[in-house]
Amino acid sequence: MFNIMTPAAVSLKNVHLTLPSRAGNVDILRGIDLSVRPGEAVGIVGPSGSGKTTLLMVIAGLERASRGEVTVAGQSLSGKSEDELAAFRRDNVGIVFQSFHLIPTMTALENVAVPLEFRGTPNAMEIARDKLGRVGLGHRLSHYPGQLSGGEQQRVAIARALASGARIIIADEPTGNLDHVTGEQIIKLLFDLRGQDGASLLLVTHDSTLAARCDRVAEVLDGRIVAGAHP
Amino acid sequence: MNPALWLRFARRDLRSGLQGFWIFLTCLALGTGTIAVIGSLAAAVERGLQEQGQPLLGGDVELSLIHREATEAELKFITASGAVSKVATVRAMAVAGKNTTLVEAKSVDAAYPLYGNVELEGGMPLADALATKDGIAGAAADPLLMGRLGIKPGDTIKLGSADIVIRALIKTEPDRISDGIVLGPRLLLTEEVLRSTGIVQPGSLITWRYRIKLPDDASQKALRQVVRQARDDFKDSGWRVKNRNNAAQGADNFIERLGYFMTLVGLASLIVGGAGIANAVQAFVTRKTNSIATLKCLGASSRDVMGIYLTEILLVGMIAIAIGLLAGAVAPAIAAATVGGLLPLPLTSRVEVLPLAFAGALGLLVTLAFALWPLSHTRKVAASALFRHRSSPVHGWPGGWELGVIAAALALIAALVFVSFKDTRVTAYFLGGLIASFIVLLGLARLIILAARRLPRRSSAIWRYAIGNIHRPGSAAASVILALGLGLTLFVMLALTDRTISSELRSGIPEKAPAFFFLDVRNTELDAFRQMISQQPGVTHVTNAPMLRGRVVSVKGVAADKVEASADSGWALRGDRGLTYADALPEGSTLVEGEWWAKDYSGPPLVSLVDEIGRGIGVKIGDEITVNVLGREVTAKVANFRQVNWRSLGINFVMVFSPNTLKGAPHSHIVTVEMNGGDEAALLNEMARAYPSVTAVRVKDAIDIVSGLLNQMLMAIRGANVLTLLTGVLVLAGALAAGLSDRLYEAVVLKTYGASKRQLVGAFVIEYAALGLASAIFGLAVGSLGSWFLAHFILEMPWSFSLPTALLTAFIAMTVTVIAGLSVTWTALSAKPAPYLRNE
Repeated sequence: MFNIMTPAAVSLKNVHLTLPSRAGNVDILRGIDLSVRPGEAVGIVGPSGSGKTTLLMVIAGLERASRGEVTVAGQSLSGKSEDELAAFRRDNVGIVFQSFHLIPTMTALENVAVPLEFRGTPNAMEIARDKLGRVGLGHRLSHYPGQLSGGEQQRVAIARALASGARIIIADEPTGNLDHVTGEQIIKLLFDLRGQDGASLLLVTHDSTLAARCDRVAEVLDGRIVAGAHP
Repeated sequence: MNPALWLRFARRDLRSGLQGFWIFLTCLALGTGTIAVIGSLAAAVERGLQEQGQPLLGGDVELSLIHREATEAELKFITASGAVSKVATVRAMAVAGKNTTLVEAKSVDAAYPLYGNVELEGGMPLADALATKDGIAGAAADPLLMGRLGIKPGDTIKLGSADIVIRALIKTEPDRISDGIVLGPRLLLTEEVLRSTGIVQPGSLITWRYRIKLPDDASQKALRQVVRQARDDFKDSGWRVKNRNNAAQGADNFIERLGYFMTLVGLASLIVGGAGIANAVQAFVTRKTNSIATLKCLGASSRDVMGIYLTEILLVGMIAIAIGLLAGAVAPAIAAATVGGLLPLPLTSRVEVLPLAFAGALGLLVTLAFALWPLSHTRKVAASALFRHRSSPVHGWPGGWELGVIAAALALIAALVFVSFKDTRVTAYFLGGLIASFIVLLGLARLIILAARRLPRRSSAIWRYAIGNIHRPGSAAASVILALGLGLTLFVMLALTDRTISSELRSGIPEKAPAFFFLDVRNTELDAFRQMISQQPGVTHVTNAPMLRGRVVSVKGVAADKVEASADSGWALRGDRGLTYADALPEGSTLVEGEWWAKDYSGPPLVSLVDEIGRGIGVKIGDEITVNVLGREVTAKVANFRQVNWRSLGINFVMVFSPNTLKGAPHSHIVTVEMNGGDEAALLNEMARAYPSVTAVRVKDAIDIVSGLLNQMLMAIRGANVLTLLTGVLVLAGALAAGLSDRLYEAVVLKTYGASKRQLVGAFVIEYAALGLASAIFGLAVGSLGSWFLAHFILEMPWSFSLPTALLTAFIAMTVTVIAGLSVTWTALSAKPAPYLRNE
């Protein structure tokens, strides 16, 4: 299915993350190896506290690895400044959170346009309108997050994640705050759109059925990937 | 950098309204508004004084002489300069039946007033009112005189030895303000009538004023020319030269000083409000943590995030500043429309741009100085916060450029204040005190937090929780102590200053103060006068001293107006001063340097100076001072310095000459009378009848006039204190509200695990009372020091401390803190855990 010569969308080699705490240093990630191919969907599963979310944060450049090599979208993240990492996320990564994290004072349209505006895209609003149309919210453009249902808010978040043409989509429990039916609709949407855009998807979930819909499932346990690290 | 993007995002964020900004808005609008209103009103009065210069002065130029009229040569110059009006002012006693009172008599000629109009009640022309009809002279009087003498228009009074009928009451007298402090009601009459009273004698304290109206097209240049000529060509005349540009110098100075004091209070209030701004912005940043993290996740750089929220804060700040400036802009118009008619000062209703620019600049700089620190925390909000359920509040030091901008803003505030006010010493003390208070309060807050951390663990959970709240991370202790401490310091300072002035008013008349000053007692009648007054019932002590009026011409050869005198001694060089001579050190004086002259001294003229004035104008023993008395210049060597107890209200003069210097000049005497019991009104009546040309000033009346002025100052101080309290409570509420979401979370968790509402209330009360007490102790100590400074250096009054005021302040502080704390955190105390936990 994948061309073996295509460079990996995400490549982690022997990644460690140690955080200081009052009780001493805590090893969160202990030598993670992971590679994700372009367009591939990888489900990340594991018990609470195993390090799944932290792994996503390292890939998004929100946490710095203490050791090891992190390469995402062909860029090594080590040595990048905070602002360079912000610019990297803006251009390459779309994030979907469990709690949506829309900006409450902006309309749905403005929320989706944010990454485009930071990139200086001239027709940011038009692109955002198009993306919202694709998630079925063309009629809710000027609504504020508080006026939208949970499912609608998550659709806005998906539109925002895809707005800047990100090659990597990171989703952290995207259905965790939604009822079953809405969750199903959201996942279908996420997979459909990701498929249309050809972006890679890293999906953290506790739901094994949902994980099974991915191309591959990587299992994290105690800071290590114990299964499914590579295609 | 993308300011357009920052502005776009800031405006989007503000679309949802100004919720959460009310304390910020109010603190800033209140502080800026106070400065703008005070500045605008002072400027409106100053402009009024300037624009109304001609009617206020009664001419373009006024040349005034004390004791004597102009010589022929002087008159020639005066009449050659333009149209002239001759006016004489003198204090005299008016008698009607059994009533006697002091009046400010003013004789005018047909040309009076050269500018403006005298309005009499009933519309009678002035000339008609003052005319002599059927052998009886007429006069126009201040309505106040009717009450004092128990008469009505048409009745006759006695002034000196003349009978005068009051034909009309004065409604407006355009040049009233330029005559200085008046001790009695005005009586307008003609020069001829004044002369017929017998009051005009050589040596009498009469001021002859020659007002000149320059030709219609006279420019400022022409005005300066006349003024220069009057000064240069008539150096020996000793006349005082005033022009339309400085018509009411005294009122101008008073307004300037009052405006200065009130502006400093306003600035202090704005800076206390700055602490409120800082808390509000910190709360804003905490509220926005999720949005900040989201923006960062979506690719916003830290600089962009900082730019967006700084722009937003500046936009809100500008709304607050605009509200304050609007109040300042309309203040003169509102004041002119409402109280304009009641004020003795002219008031323009125009918008005063300069004070508004000053207030706006201060408001903007204070916003920058206090908002940047908490705004810098946006840099530290981690994007990863979105993956965690609760993030800790962000604190810590700002980066280098933010610190640089904060320092620059503070320096600019100081520079603006220094440039705007002349009194650099007081400004420096004020700013130094403010900075020191900030530093000490922050240190105190740290100490309290440290002490709370080190306290031994108590067995009571309520105490443990209360003490823990003081030192835990993100505690509001530092901001509460800063806000409350600064507010209380100002409150205590103003409350004690209020007390100092009030007790000065209450104890205004010392036990052994004279009851009367009698002026213009002639040399020839002095002995008889003393003898008669000593025999009056109740009189216990009579003293007298020769009295002349003169003007300092030069000090050590330098013209008086060029001498660099200290702020509190320059007045001695301006205008006419009372002079005397004495062969022995006057009562109530102590020699501090030099020696007193021998009783029969007959060498070159010598002068004794009041110590602080002498030093203030920069003279030493042996230096020369030249005064002009009755048109004659007298140069005397400084022989000694005296300290004078002015509070005794005895006869004392800044300059006392050796007798041989002034004895030959025609002069009168001032006599003081101390009384113990006896009827003051009867004595006044008796003496006025026997000596109609002698003027009596009742000390109680004079003190009432000064008390009136001080009372006006008290009103200003009380107004300022209300403002301070309001700002302090706002800032306190803001400081407490800043930590509300943490309080809510804690209260919910504690309740979930079994804490009762009563226990939580107990813990909050202990915590807030402890913070209130610490701030009260600081406020009391520093506020008392501040009020002592004000009393000692500015008001020059004995400082008054009151333990009840101090204790009451401490009690109010603790109560206000506890009430404010509980009312702000009541939501937290009343929160039901279930819904909150579900949302979390």
